[in-house]
Amino acid sequence: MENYLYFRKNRPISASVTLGSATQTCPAFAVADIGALAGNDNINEIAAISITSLDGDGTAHANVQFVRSQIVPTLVSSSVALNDSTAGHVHWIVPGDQVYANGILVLDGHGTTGGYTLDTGDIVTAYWKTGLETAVMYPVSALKGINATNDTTTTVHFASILGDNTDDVITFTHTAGEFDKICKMINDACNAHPLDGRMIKVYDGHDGVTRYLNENDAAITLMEYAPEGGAAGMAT
Amino acid sequence: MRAENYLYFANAGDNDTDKDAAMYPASNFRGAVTMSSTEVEFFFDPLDGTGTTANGVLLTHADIAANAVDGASPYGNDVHYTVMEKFAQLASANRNNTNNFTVVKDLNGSLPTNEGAISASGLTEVTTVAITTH
Repeated sequence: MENYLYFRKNRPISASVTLGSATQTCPAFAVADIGALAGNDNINEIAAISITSLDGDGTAHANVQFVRSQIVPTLVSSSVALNDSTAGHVHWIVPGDQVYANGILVLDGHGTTGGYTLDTGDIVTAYWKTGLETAVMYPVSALKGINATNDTTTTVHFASILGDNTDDVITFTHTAGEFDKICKMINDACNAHPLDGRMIKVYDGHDGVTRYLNENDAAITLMEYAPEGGAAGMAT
Repeated sequence: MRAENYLYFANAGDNDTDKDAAMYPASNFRGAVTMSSTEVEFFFDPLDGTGTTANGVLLTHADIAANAVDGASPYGNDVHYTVMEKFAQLASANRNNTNNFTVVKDLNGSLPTNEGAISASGLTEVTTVAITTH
């Protein structure tokens, strides 16, 4: 009998960036919102992308006419075309048509089907959903240890699922000096229900609202997950 | 003798093709990871003796329930969470005086007479099973 430890990143979540200039390469999203930028490349994890026009100077391809009625898991659109020349209008573009790497979106211009030519001051918002490597579960027996990387960062190491020489690592960002509370949280999760064996929700950041075991006051703000294979390393 | 629990998976085939079905000791479970909003994969020690490149059982389930307004989604009802939780219950379900044989999911549907699903068909949330072995 053993427990199973469940962790979910801060997904789903939305994050926005504001264009500082008229470019198709958006500024990087904030680490505080979406986690580490390096390797955050999975466009399929993004359910929807919206563009809010500052002053109506941006230009949408003729087929960009989505109106949101729901975002996840599937963006539902109307057949009503948007008036592109109105400030504040929100355009919805298809994530799969765009390029995403290391937390940076590069959007197609309006000359490309599904594209939108951005202008200074436009706001681009992406909506991440539950996707590749956003939630994980490990048996307690896979836990190898916990390490205080610095005052505000703690890493939890598990035996690699792939089984090579590098640990799978969950990294928590939290209030300074709360390493011991992270350890207590993990300890409590491992030793709960000793005669039974259950899945214990250790950390759950869904909807951007963090929930963690025992109302622990380590004030975790961010969870990152790095399996041995790196981002998207578990994809088979 | 150790009271081990054995976890059984079978796809919709007839158990007559490679990777139609597999069974692993619960103690060989390494971890589970979401692959998409409709897939979660459970990994086990490989069978080739190398210890590397885990065997995987990819389970497909329904997508997240639609939400009307962003930010108010019912993600607490994520199906992957239910599948993981039920798997944990099954993996830890062994008791004395049982055979400890646990069907996580058995999708066999057209086996010859007397070769139907071994017992329960398993988790109702799971719609397909894909087994990768090494």
